[in-house]
Amino acid sequence: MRLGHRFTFPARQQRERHRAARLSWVSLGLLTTTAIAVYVTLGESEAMKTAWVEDLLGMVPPIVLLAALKIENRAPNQRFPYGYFRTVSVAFLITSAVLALAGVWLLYDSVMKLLHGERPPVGTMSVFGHMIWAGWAMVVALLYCVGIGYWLGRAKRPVADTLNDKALYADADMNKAGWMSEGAAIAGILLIGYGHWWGDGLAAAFISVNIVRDGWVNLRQVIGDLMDETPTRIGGQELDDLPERLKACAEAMPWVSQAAVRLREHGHVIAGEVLIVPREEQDLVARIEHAVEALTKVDWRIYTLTVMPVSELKDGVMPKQPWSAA
Amino acid sequence: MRRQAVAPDHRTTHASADSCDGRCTGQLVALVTGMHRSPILALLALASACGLPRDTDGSLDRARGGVLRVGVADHPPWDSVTAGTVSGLEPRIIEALAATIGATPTWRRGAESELLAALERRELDIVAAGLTDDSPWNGRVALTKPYRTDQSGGAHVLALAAGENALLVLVERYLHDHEAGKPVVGAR
Repeated sequence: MRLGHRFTFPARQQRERHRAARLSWVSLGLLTTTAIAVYVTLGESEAMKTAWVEDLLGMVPPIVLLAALKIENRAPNQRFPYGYFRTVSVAFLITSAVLALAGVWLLYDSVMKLLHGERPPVGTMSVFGHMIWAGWAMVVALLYCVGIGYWLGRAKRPVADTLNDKALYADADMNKAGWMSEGAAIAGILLIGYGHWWGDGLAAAFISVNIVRDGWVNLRQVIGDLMDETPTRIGGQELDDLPERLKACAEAMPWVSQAAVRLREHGHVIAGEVLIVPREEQDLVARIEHAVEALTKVDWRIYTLTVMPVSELKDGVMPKQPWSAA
Repeated sequence: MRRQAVAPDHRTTHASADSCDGRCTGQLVALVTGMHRSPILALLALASACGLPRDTDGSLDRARGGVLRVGVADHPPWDSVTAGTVSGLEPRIIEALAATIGATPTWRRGAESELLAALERRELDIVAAGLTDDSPWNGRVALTKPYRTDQSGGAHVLALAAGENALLVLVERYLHDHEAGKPVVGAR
């Protein structure tokens, strides 16, 4: 036993980490091209403007993720004895706050434009010497974005699942929200084309609601993490059954009469305490060390467990199911 | 449906719009060459290329074979307004442009700010006032793409009511085809 050991990811997860990093780099490259495509065709359309901002904001999660993948597995030290796994949480706190604020601002902007009845002028654009309606160029740029976003979202999901990587999952979710809102922007542009000026503001409002939603979902998740929420399943608010599995594993040991478990997530990994009421106290120290080893093997995410022998488990020592009262 | 009620001469104008078909083909060619492997898009464009964009208020339909409401402010050499006459580069452009859609321009003389306010209220279709693309009215009215640059670097534009995109496209095409690349006009 020692404090401050370095966490080693299993081979499969290690591979997926490399894939996650690669996907993040690919994301950055592709999102740069989509941001350029939308910027070039931007014009006076509010929907295009919001789609562009969403594109730019979509670059933040891959950057955060790359930084986190680099920093999180640094060895713990005297100053940070629990290691650096919470880098992910800190980075995501910033990202999601920015997302939510940007979304609210864009929503305000587009709703005001709708209320004022501002009609977007969309004129011509010169493409290879032909003067075409700029709306067509916008639609082409947006279709490109939809394709890229769809592919990125699809590629990231399985990696996020294997890694149990909520950050990557949220990123994939943002890609999905992104391509859907770019689809909305296409509808908005076509509505302008048919002379319905409100289509633009409506599409923009829809996109900004999507951005706010992205921000809110991420914010909620990361606040949970920073509040030492028990492990939750990826992509939802359901609680992970890991505490129950650990409890069962501990209570299956012949020398244990009762066990209680408390866990928290540190980014990709899990830390926590296991209280054990021993049946017999012979060789207790050796048994506890053995128990730590066995319990750590229950799930690859477990980084540090403290096993503590107690004489009895009083009611109320361990947390009840959170939210269950509500 | 509503559109036809507004413009009873819609059909006749469509007959005169055969030049539009050529333009649409051009649009499509540009689209198809501009994109790599997007057959769906090509179909989409094919399905709806002609007839888009439309005006939010039907200005172009109203003007075809009818009246184009023009506001003109004195701003030599771009626009010269005297008691009886309107002359200058921009009125000449607008007259020629109106002729292509069989419209007769009616001229309203006034100060630039007064005319642009009327344009914002959609009482006018187009304003010629020697405007440049840095006009503070940008956003409240639609400015065309610059068609000339003066000696002090001002990029000159015409102003249209915002959202009248069919008319905007028509004006910008006309400016591009007939005015772009011509020598600069003297300083403002």
